[in-house]
Amino acid sequence: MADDSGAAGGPGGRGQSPISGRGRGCGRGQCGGLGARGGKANYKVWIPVTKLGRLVKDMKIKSLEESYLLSLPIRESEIINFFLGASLKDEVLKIMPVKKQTRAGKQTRFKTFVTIGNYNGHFGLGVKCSKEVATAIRGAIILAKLSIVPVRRGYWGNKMGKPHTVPCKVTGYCGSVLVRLCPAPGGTGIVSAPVPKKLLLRAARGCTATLGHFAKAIFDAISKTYSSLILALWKETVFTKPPYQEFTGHLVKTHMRVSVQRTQAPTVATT
Amino acid sequence: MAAASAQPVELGFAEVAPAWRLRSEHFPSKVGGRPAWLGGAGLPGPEALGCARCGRPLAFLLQVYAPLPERPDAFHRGLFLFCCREPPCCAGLRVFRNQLPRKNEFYSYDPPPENSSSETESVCLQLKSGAHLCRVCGCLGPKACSRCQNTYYCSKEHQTLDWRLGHKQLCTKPDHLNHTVPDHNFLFPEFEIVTETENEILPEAVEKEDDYEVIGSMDEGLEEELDFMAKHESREEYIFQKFKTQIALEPQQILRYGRGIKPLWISGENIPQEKDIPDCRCGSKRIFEFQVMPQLLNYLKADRLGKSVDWGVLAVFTCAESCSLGTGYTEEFVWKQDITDTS
Repeated sequence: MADDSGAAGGPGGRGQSPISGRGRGCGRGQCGGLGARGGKANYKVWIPVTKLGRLVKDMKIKSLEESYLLSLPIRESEIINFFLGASLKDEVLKIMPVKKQTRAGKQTRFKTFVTIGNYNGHFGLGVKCSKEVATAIRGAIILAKLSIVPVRRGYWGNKMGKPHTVPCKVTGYCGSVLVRLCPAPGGTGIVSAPVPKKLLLRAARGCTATLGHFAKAIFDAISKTYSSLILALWKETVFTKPPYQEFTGHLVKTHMRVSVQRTQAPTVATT
Repeated sequence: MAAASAQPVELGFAEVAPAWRLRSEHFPSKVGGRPAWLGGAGLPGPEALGCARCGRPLAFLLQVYAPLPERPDAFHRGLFLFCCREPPCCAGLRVFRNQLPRKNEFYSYDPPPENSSSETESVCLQLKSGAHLCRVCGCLGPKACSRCQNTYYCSKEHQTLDWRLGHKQLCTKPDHLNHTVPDHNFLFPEFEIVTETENEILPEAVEKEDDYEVIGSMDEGLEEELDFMAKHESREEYIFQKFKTQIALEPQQILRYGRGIKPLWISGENIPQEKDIPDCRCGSKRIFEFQVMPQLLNYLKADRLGKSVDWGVLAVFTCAESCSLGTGYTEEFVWKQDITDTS
């Protein structure tokens, strides 16, 4: 259907097949055939589909944090690759086969959990189910990238060196579970169950946590590091002068006290 | 059109082309620039080309030359798509269809020559039928400059735009029509659309997640927590991933053409139902003809941090009978599907 009759200028002219135009790449010359396609080589180049993707590719957005400020949902994992690319490390937490009973027997698929993080303030977790393990892992990595959240770190005591722990005690809730992350001195490591420990290791070092198997509460607590408003973050109040102080010159000139101005009674203004 | 679903999809790609090939007499499919009008009569006027929301003139987005082979009255057929690019609106869209039989008063019976005729490089501002085109946007320009009576505009906005950008000096000079038209920053960059058929790929099974019975001797509690906190694929993401898989073979495609096929949606929300697509004025239903992909926005270079022209998918629905209401331009229906609801 997409024959190049247009290029050859056949007797039917341009009114022949629907939308048949030239093949790609031979638009300028007279060569026919679909073989000469110039665009085949760059199939690895990312062509963005979302507005955020286009802005990121054009370098209008300088960092991942800026995109958080714009409150645009991140739909393409290539955006995360662009900002954090090389420093991201992923790890497969668990691959579990799940089965479904069909009329033709049991159907097994693999459910994969993957965490991803850059050991410097970002981490994410994704889960995907698929017939093959490799596909599931690939899909889970993409979802993990889309779920990346920033982690705010602070200090336990003296502000020396880089931030190494949670900035303040943060609490996360999930169901009836309450998890509390408390700052700890450097060197403590992460004291928690294996699963949350793996997650927390991805994000930062040096957090302690209460014992708990319920990792969602932990995720919730970590996500809150950036939402808690502590004293240090309060905006500086700019105190303005009280009106009496500000307009003292004016007051002295025009509105004297009655006891002094007995002789000039008419000029006393009623303020 | 029977057996429409078996029809292969034609993909459109944007390519730079010399200006002579994008003129009306070569029946181009193109993006941006001025519209290369097909029929010279019955052009949509400024009221038809005003944005439905903000009222300002729409900019020409693309045109597709899509004849119907078995219809003699649609030997030549073109679809013209216009969009609003002024922030904060950036939302109005209109599409027009025009068709001509092979024997018509505007073009010769024979196909055009494949090489450049000795055409001047200047912009054509007047149709052969005598209608004047707006100096800024290339659409019908009924209004004229009151001083020189020689330059035409479609609306007051374009007249003020051109005045500031040089007409103020040239208005009184005698041969100002020979000067090049300045860039008013209103038109989109110009490209030609070249087409190829899509290869039939078997899309990798992008599966849905159902309730599966967990087997195995792992620690049950751990899985539940992980399951709770991990990012599951929502329905939105599932559809988006399906979209990405389908376009991954040819990521640069900007257009998918297939009369009557099922459109490839980019999101689960905002899919039009039967009742959302109005019927044609002749009474017949409108069917899907082609869709514009978001990759086109990469070429248009119109992104801003604030509000700007943006879409997920633009689906154009045209009259199933391709009715010919005279030789004028009939309005058809275009549906815009955004990726998200935000901004």
